[in-house]
Amino acid sequence: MKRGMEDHFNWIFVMFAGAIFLAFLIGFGAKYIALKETGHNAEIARGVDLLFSGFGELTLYKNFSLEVPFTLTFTCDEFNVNHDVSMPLDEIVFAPSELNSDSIFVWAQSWNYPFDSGTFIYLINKDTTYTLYGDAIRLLELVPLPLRSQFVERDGDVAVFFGAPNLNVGGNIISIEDGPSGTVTFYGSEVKTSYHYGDLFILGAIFSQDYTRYDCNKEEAISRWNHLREIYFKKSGMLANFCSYQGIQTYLISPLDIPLVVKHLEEENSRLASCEVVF
Amino acid sequence: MLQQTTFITMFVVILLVLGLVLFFKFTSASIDQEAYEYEFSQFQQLVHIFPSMPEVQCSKLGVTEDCMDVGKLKAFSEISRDYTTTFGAKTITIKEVYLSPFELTVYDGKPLEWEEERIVSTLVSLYYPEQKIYGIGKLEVRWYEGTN
Repeated sequence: MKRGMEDHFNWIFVMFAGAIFLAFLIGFGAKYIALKETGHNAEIARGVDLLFSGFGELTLYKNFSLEVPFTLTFTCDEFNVNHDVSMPLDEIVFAPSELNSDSIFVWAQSWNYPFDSGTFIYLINKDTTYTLYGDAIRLLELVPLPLRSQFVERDGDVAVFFGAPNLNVGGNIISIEDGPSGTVTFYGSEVKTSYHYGDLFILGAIFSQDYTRYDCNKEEAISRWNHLREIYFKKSGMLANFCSYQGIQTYLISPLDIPLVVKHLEEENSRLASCEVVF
Repeated sequence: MLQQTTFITMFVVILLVLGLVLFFKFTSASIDQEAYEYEFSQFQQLVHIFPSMPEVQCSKLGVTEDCMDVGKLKAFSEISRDYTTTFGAKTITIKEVYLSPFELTVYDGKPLEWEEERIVSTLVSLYYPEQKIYGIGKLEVRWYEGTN
């Protein structure tokens, strides 16, 4: 009887110990895979960050592709790879809130307004198509040639109207008030309106496809532009011993409509050609 | 007999756990090390990136030049506190090495405490818009590691 009980106990013990071993092995495997994936995602994140910071003031077009599909998600301050590794976002990147592909187009365009005001980076999923309704030739000419095939005549994933939109077409609908500035309206689950300051912003709205993603980049771009305006205002103050910079200074602190300020700044700066120009 | 088996099993399990803990610590440390190496390379790149920022780069009638505008540097130093998220715990200084003495702390993000200080520097062309002359400057970036 006692011997039988001991055998019984031995079996229970062996099964218990075996279960612990097995749990360890499975746990080890799962954790190892998760760690390896995190390492891989961190590598992709660094690659993307390097791509963004490498553009500097250049106007360039690049294709970023990997052997396996990856997901990039964006917020105002950071981007995330495969819902795992996040990195801070220092550049102005117009992209949808989520990009899922094995290949994305990256286009950097310098923004002169009227002085060098940084670089806009546009991220485009190779599987997304865009249809522009209205006179958009001017806008298409700005887009690098390899990207123009993303613009189709009808039934694009994103429908862009220059003027009143037709809400019966499918896909994401954006309507734009054309001109040096105007409104941009996104017809998603909610209808939300923001503003643009010319073609580079309009392209930002098209490639963002989403109010939040567009608006936070627009705000960041204007904030940087205002910093540059302040720098040029202070610089013109230092130069004022030699020439009169009153004209340009008026517009460097003017609260007027931005496109109007830009037009006057360009004129005033050109007028300074006999003195030291401000920018 | 049973006691011996239990003891050996426990011993093996402890060894296994210890091995796994060490392995994961090592793997995590290597991921952290790669992240640090990337951050360090970004810091080293800063001396090349900073001079081409529109906030400090020379430009004439919209055309940029390969130099740093002293007028813009002085103006930028007055508003550089707004760039804390961009530069973090670093200081950026510029010092004239050729013409009359000129030294300026362009950005000051020096923390109260830090563990290690890294320094990287390069020579840059400086433009003095008031005198319309060019000089040579030493751009120095200090990175304070291990800040809270």
